[in-house]
Amino acid sequence: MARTPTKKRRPAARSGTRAKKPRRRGVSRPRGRVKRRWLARLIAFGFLFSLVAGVYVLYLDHTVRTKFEGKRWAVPARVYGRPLELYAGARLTGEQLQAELRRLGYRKVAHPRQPASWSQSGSRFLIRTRNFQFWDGAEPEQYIDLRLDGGRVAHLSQADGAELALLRLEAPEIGSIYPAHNEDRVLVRRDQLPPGLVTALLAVEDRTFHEHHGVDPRGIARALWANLRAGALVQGGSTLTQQLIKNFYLTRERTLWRKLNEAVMALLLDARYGKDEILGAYANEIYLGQDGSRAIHGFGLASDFYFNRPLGELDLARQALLVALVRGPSYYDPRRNPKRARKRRDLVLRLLAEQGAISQAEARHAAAQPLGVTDQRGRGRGNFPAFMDLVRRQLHRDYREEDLTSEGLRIFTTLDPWVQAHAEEALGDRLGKLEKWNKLPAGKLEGSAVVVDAQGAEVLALVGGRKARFAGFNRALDAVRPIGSLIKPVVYLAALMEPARYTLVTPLEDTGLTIRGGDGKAWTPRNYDRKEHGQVPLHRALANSYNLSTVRLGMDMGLGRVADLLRELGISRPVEPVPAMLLGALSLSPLEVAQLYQGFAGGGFYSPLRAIREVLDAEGRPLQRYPLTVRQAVPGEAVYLLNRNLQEVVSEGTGKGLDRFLPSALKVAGKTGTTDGLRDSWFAGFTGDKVAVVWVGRDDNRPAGLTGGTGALQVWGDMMRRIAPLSLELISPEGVETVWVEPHSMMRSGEGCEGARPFPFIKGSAPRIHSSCSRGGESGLGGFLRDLFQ
Amino acid sequence: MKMNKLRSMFWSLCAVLLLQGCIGAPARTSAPVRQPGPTVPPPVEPAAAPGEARVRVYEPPQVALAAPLHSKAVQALLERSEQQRLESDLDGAVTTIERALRLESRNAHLWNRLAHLRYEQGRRTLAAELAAKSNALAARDLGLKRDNWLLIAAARRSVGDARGARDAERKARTLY
Repeated sequence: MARTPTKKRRPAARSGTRAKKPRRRGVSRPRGRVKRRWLARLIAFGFLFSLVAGVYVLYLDHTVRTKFEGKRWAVPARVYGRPLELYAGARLTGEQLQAELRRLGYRKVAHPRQPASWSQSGSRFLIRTRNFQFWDGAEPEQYIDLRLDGGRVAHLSQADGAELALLRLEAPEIGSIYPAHNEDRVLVRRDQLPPGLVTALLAVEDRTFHEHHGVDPRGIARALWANLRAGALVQGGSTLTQQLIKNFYLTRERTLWRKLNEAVMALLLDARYGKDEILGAYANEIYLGQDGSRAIHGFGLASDFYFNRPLGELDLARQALLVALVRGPSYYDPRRNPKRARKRRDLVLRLLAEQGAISQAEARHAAAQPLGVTDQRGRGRGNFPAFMDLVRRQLHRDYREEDLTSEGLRIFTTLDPWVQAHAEEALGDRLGKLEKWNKLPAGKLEGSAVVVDAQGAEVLALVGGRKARFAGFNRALDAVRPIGSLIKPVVYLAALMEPARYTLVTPLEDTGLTIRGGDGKAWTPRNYDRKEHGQVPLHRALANSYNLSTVRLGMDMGLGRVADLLRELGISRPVEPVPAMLLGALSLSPLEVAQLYQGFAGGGFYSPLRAIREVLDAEGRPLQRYPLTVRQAVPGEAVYLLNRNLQEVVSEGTGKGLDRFLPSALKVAGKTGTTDGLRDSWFAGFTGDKVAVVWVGRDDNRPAGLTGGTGALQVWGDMMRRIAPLSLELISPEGVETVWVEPHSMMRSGEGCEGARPFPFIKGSAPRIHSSCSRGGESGLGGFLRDLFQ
Repeated sequence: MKMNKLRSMFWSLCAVLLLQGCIGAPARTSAPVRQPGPTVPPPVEPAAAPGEARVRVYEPPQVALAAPLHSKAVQALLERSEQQRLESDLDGAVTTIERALRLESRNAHLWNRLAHLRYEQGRRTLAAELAAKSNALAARDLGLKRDNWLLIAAARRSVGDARGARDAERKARTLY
């Protein structure tokens, strides 16, 4: 049915075309024909031009729309440190609280009336907090009354006296993960732009923004006139829309063609979108500064970068400074060229007053203000490069690079900026002193430090080198060096896990030996002091870090057993079971050593070290959590014995030097480590709440000239002194009993017997033979019966 | 005959009295001195409810979990976590307990709470490990240890480890 008419029409159409052609030729005349031909050509040319121009405009329109309606910017992930928890009883000093408030950009005032402000009177703080979106909900804005006493929060309540059990301050931002083109920004919505900032921006950059259609011919003329009068480029003729087009779509080249494109696209953008949308896009796109390789885009990030506070909290003077920067962020850089910046800011204020947007008095008041720029710079990758490196590596297991750099993720990490700052300072200070005191070449020593929460296994601080702010070789993760005697606790733990054979008082032979490896090569270990110590109890062998007895013990336990134990405690790096491993030929990074010692501090429970707690998407919806997990890797009883022994290392052994730094009441467990030729100096240890590892050595692997005790221990002690950790109070497991033993005979003794000391034993493993002293006070029958049943 | 009978009765009486005198307590030589101050009545055990038999010999009494004294902050977080659990927001409840553990990382009760929440989420192996961690920090809190062992037993049984479960239950039974 439908085909028939089509068939009929076709011949008619063809015949019609044929009929027209002769008729046209028939009506033309010679003179007029030439004229008309030109006219026709002109029309055709015009038509063709219009067609091409039209297609081109359509293309431009498509370009404008695609980018404007799609995802406009790659929004870098923002990374936060741990929030400070405030509650009665929390360990907190005034200095620490002030540092935290400064880090968050809170203002110290006489009476806190605005959010993010605080006042102090002695040890009493009144703080108005900001609200903040956490993984588990919002922490609302609060006005609190906090009192400190003796290094603790003595009182916490709402300022009106209402009860308050605890609150979190905001999580401090510690960096962002931005893409390879180095553009960093914090997105702000149009309604988040302060009206004062918008007024100032329009007053200076585009007075007729709300009237023109994207391009302002009068503005161009006015700018031209102003520039001619001034004899220099003082005013630009581009509208905000044109500026946005230039930044958003086009290159920076200055050609007429680009200018033309810019104008057409500006007209198209203005025609398609509302003024508010354009203004919002402009506020996020505009380039406002440089931080190393990181480009600061948008008012949101600029406010944070220059003033360390959100856009909504800026006063008039600061808003004016941001607007002043639009014209030339480098030329008017308030950090490098404060005078120039100030002049330009005051000009912005004058313009605002002239146009009646503010009063003369307001302008004068604002102009009297300092620039208010903070000296905190480089939050992108600058401040905590080593830790950020760890965060990136952990994130890369679960996210693609482009998601991290463009999806606006919010990443909550475990970094404690307070601990981090002290770790950095201690490492920097001490390395200089070590070089001076030991007459070592200046600037050659390097080091790294890791601090971990003892039970939760959260990485609190990570220092990758002496210049902690310099994003270079990350020694905490990548300096994989022989760990020396830090391995010994694993060997001793393997032994203590067999209580029928080894206890803390089991005598070991500390005498020379030669071992032939599988390749036939002989290995003859020596003690550090080149001496043999004969028969020594196991606990003394570890406390004094004797090599010969350790090798004998390790060979008795089996190299495979020690390697297995390392794996159980979370060391995933392949371990070659060779005899030299027993004295620390095994190479690990400081972070891996921290993992190993966290297992000891955690009572034999392995928890993978974590640097990230949670990841939220751009809208604040939870994406992923990295929860706390534990796995019992080693029996608690054996670890308890080991930890008591590691306490002895510090109180009476190779770690005794710590008493120069730490109060005597503070109980600590730890172990020194030194490698051949004094190339690596290590100290790993833990307190009641923190595990810390320090490595000191040289990048070129030449002898550093320091033992574990004369090098890394000093840094460790200094660092812990600054952090003020909790004392290590070990909880004796059920399966452990304390028995008094006579040190020489290793016989069971009694309290008060001469020289006798209490030792922990796994039940059933304590010596059974009693010394004469212990029997003295008891009836013969009682002693006999006890011996019989034990 | 009658006289003989009376005499034998007399001697029998004397013998009994004599024997009683030997076995019995010595006679008091002086009057008791009254103790000053009020007399404290001996503690009286509440009578068993009708129909409730107490058979101590075979079944030791249930050791109630002693209500631990938490700091205000931890108590607030525990309450919040419980609220979240009741609202079936187990992830939220876990997050809250982890937050509390950051305040008091050696608080065995918090590890125990986390273990229960993980158990409820079906993460039985992790629950058992967390309960073991709680035990390691519980020191002499027998009630808490018992609860941990029972949780470990349940977790082991749920993953098919009947023998391990029995061991754990045995451990729990010893903790009174």
